[in-house]
Amino acid sequence: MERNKISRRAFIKGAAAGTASAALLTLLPKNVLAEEAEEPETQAAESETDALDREIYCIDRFVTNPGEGKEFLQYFMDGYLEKAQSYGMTLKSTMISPPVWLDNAENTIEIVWSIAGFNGWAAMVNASRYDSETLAWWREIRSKVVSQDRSFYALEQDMEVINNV
Amino acid sequence: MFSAVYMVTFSETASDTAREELKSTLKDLADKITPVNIAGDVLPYAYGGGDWFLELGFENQDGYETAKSSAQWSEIQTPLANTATVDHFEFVAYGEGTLNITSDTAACHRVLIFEVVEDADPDAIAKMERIMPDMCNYIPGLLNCKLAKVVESSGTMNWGYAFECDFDDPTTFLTNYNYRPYHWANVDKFFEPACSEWVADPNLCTPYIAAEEAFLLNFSE
Repeated sequence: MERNKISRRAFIKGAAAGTASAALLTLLPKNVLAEEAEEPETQAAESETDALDREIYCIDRFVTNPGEGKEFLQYFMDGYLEKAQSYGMTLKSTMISPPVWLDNAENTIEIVWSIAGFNGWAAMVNASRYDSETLAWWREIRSKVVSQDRSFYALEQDMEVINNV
Repeated sequence: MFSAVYMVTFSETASDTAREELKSTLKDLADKITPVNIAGDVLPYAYGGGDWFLELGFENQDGYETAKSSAQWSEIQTPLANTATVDHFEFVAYGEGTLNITSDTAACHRVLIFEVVEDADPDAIAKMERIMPDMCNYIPGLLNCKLAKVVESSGTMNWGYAFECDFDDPTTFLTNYNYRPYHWANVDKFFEPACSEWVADPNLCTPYIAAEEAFLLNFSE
């Protein structure tokens, strides 16, 4: 297939997307973006946009070392909250289990962030994944806890829409 | 199928003529080495992987090793070493891996290569090997795919894995492939440093080219 047979809309949306191509959004020529914005939205494109904008959730879960729960949470928030906000993540809640800081046992901390859909997720990846400081940060964080997990969620009511984009 | 892949980045100063001559020379040599090969210009917005892509397919590693000892194989290396035309190139060779075939036609071929980070969790690597080849079952337009360990490589990184795909169309790679939650919420965890399943160094290469056939079908049962 020749390059000009591939729709520019697909490339622009694709360039905002995914594992490998997320980093490329900033490399797109501005005149291409501007030209693309003037194209009329089709119904299919509107539906696609809606699906890609459905809010998704990122949950960070940490099992802390015994007696270190409160200290770890403070350290994490001091070092990450501002960065996360700059990546487009919004802090929704921070939960502790059990809800008492334990002196001689592990606490589990769950931090819930919201992200503005797939497009927000792609922007987050674009802003964070290729930053060596961020890579070092997560390695350090993992060294400070018993276990760590980050997973992404969507509301059950959005499952059909986001899986049919 | 055992594959040998070259991802070529031209020198900025290389003329169009020099680029075309190099592509023609390498394609002719590839045709002499094995009839199972695919080459093409890397399509826009690919991340890494350079300007031009060449993959040679062999029935097995023995076939690859035999080809490597041929005169044509040595001839491939000469133009690639010409720094006036070639800035750099990545090379990977990999074998069967886990193959998932769902279609006998395709219009786009793509190979992702990545280095495994030194502290990757072996359980995460095993999980990645298990679920990445399943992507065909969850992403419309991703027709065939294969995840395989790299057995030989050169270039800018110590390449550890190759993930090879046939798509129904080049746009699918940039759209549906990325949009589906199976990708961004599941498989992408192996590529995200914030996830405990992090396996892949972010400095990866993922060129894709137009294709006239489902290349992964070659030598498949």
